[in-house]
Amino acid sequence: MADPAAPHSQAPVLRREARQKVTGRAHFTSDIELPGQLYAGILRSPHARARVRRIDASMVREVAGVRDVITHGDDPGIRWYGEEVPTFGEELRFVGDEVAAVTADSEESVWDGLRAFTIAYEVLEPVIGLAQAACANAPLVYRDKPGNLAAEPQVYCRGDVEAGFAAADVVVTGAWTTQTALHNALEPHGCNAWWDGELLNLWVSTQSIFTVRNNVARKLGLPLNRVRVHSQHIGGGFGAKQVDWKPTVIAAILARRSNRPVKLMLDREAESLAAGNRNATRQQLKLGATRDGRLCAISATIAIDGGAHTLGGENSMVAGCYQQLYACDNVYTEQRQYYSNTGPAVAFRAPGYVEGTAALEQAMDELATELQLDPFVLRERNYTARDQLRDKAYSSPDALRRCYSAAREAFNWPLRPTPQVARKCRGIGMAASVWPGGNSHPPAYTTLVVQGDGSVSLLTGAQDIGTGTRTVLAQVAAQVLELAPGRVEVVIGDTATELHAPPSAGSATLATLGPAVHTAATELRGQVLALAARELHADVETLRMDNGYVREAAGSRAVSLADLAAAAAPGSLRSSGAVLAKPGASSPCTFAVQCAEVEVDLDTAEITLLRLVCAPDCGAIVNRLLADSQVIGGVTQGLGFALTEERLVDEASGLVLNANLEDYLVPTVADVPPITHAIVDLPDYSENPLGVKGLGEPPIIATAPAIVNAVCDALGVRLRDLPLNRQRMLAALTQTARPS
Amino acid sequence: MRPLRYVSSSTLDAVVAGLTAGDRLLAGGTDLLPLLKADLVHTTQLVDIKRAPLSGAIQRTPGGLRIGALATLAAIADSPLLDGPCSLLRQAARQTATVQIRNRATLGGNLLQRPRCWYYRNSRSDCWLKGGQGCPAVEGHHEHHAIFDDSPCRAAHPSDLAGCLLALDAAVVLYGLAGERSVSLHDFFRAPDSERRRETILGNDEIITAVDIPALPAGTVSIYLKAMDRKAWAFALVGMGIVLHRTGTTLDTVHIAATGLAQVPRRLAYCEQALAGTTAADVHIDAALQVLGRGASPLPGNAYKLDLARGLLERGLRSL
Ligand SMILES: Cc1cc2nc3c(=O)[nH]c(=O)nc-3n(C[C@H](O)[C@H](O)[C@H](O)COP(=O)(O)OP(=O)(O)OC[C@H]3O[C@@H](n4cnc5c(N)ncnc54)[C@H](O)[C@@H]3O)c2cc1C
Repeated sequence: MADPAAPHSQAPVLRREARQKVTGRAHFTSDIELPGQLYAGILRSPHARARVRRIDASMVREVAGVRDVITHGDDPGIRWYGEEVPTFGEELRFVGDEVAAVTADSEESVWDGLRAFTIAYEVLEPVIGLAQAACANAPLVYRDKPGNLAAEPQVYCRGDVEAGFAAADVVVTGAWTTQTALHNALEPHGCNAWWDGELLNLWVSTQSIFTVRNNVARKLGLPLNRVRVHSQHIGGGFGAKQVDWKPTVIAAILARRSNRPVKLMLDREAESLAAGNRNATRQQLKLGATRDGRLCAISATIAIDGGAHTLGGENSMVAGCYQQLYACDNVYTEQRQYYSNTGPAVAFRAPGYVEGTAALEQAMDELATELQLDPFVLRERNYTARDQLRDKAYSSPDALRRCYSAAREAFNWPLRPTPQVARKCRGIGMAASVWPGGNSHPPAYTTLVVQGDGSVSLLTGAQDIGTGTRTVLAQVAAQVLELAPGRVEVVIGDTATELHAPPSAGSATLATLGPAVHTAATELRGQVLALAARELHADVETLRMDNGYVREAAGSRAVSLADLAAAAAPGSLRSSGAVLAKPGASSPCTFAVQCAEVEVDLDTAEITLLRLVCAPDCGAIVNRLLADSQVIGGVTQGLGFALTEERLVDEASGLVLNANLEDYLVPTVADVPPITHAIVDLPDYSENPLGVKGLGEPPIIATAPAIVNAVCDALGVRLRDLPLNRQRMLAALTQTARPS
Repeated sequence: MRPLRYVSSSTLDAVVAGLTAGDRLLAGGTDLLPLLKADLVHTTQLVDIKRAPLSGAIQRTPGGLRIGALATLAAIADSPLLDGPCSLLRQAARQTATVQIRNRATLGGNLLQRPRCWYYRNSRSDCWLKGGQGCPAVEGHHEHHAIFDDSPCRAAHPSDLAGCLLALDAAVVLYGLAGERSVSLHDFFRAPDSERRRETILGNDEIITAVDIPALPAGTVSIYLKAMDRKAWAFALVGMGIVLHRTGTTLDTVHIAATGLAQVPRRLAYCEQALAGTTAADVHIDAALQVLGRGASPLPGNAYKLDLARGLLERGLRSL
């Protein structure tokens, strides 16, 4: 199966910035300090729904160190989100909504300034949570959006669902819910803005420097060539940093007004209130199957709590898994997004599919129990090699099957190797997932240059969200150029390269840029060999590249890249590679199968995860270490979603009660069991000659349902609401027939 | 900017004199600094007591054991003197917060830490404990709150060590303008009321200098079990401290104290009574579990704490 184009298959190359990061020497946005810099902060609404009657900033201007104050009216014509609201609204729609901003000489003066505002609010009754939002007589978050519906319901139908259910021997039905979760990237959102004459420079913690550049330019009415965005290291984003949020534009406005650089970083509270979240869902499902376990119909009615705004292009695709994961002729899905007076939802690692799969895969488990079928067997009976949504074959029709067998084998399913302990019971569970991402997201451009000393530079306008982009791109180039990857310096995180690259999102980076780099490297290799042939008076066919030299395969003559670069002068050895379109003949999805073993304490209902196995399909694996990191990180985030992570909002006031890392519980090391990455490594050449797809998102999707299914297996009781907190677990304990 | 002076004091008398003038004492600072930043505590002068003549030593005394107020939670977690009857203190300290915080946090500060209630700590929310009206947790999210309503405030006491010390019948040694006094923890903690929106009876001019633990008969055993929302770095949903002594098979000492159930750490007297003088056979344990909720008035979202407390008590009793 090995293709010559596949770079160092599974090579465990250490991430290039690993040492820099662990020794604190990587500079993140929050580390950027510019000469003469001022600090800025945002005054946020204390009310979930209110009108600003009057803003008195006179005391703010009196505060020592405060330089400037802006409120509504100071952001001429700029509009945000699908609802076209101003930067500082007179109508406030969630606790944390932006009211005003201040610049000052120090962060302390910013805080003092923010405390000195006197604002008269007219406080209105808020709409909190799905139940309220969808209620017939609920207040309206937007006067012109009846029923608090953010959009027309999205309806999808194939086949005849009624007939499908009529033919079913067994039906599983009910409502499942998933909670609002916060991204909680280690580094909050923020930026540093500096006008170098007419050129706006922005250092931004972002997953998409070009999205920020283009949108900031549009909002400020600047030509694209007057905005330059920098982002060298990003402390995580998980989807919440692929849009241009208000603080970037606010900092740019403040910087222009003061003629000084302005730094504006969100604190953890603001990050939790106003920088995106995974939307809560309620999913009413019905699955029908024949006695032998073939799905005859699926119906899903889905409600989404999108918060106060809709963010372009981030609409959650909760219905997707119902349409794509299993062979089923009759599928009906209906998805409604509601407004509520809470911070807006935004993409969060595998948006929609995490929420949908959590419900679908729990329901499939219930179906397996009803049918007395092994959960793997039920799923394999409903295997599909086609993407029924797009009506195309999957580009890797066998991938999910390979995931099933890799997971089953690594987990040793259904064996429970560990003995039972008194007053504890154990269970196992599994779940599968499909994800429409992990493929190319054109356009993307790269440039490769051999420098005068023979070193090689690779340029592209990507950014590294933390997945190791520099490392894999260097590996791809180095493989073709037969260099040690360390000889290739990768320049990213700067729009001034003018080499557009996709957002670090949709698990698209490697699948998009890998092929572009491969094209550029192949072209460069051709140039190098041709020039070497001229210099050595040899036939190209007799030459090979070898660690910075071109050598005769048979003879002893060689020429270095440095000499070749000199020989090329005044020209240069440089090439470019681009990916401009998706192949599109088949559907390049990615898949995963996960298994969990858990232990539940019969006295305290405490859940202990014993082991997790994740077998993701991501095409060819280019770097085993980085792939493992994605799997461990995704599964860890998934187990937080299953067990502890939930944004809690007070219904009366709309306050977020756990907008901090004390009460919002992300997993600690002690919560994370051994996670096994069961390798699939199945190259998919339909999309690109490297056979690569993406791996950022697939590992998070099936984690929560695998864990819930294991807990339900342990207790013999079904739980349908996430997360599995103590309250829910103790309620389940009272129903269990397990020995007490 | 808010001016804040930072000083240290070399005599206890100077320290307590400053208290009446509005000084705040800084020990580890792990609770005080967050409270200051959240505008829940106001002062213009912080007095660092780590240089005052206060001890952090853990020592045997004629009457039992004394732990100095400045003892860090890390020192408590590691002290070889805290074994047998006192081993629950070590267990509790080890399950408290994180290594970094335990290295810094002191026993005195731990007993005086303020509630973690998310309404109390949220600067945008008003509540009775902060001087306002009503408790928003009653109608709102109270999953972590008290199931006993001994106060207009529904916050549960957060300290793991406090419950354990209460089970050990410990006393705090206080020093103030009027000199030194010893107060049993039972009296020291008191649910906040309208005269005193705080969880202790510590005087405005007083400082904790030490905690005394009376000697317990040889063979006394103890355990602390803590239920949390995650495996580490979380406050107790319920914490259960149990101290037992048997003569033959009969329980002649049964001390049970819980954290997380009430506004202050709480001795579960009904459970103690149900067990004292028995052999702790299944029927006796059942009887104790039956009365655990007596007097409780849980809210819809925290009734689970009763089940949890029962589970911990049963687990603890069976393991001792
Ligand atoms: C992230 C986190 C997790 C935590 N988890 C837990 C947990 O699981 N269980 C738990 O029990 N606690 C937990 N805590 C609380 C922690 O144990 C307390 O913050 C700590 O013990 C306080 O001690 P300190 O020395 O830092 O007190 P400080 O913050 O210095 O002081 C606290 C208060 O006590 C006063 N004070 C301090 N010493 C004296 C004295 N000798 N006499 C009079 N007044 C004094 C101060 O003036 C102040 O009002 C956690 C805290 C954090 C930040």
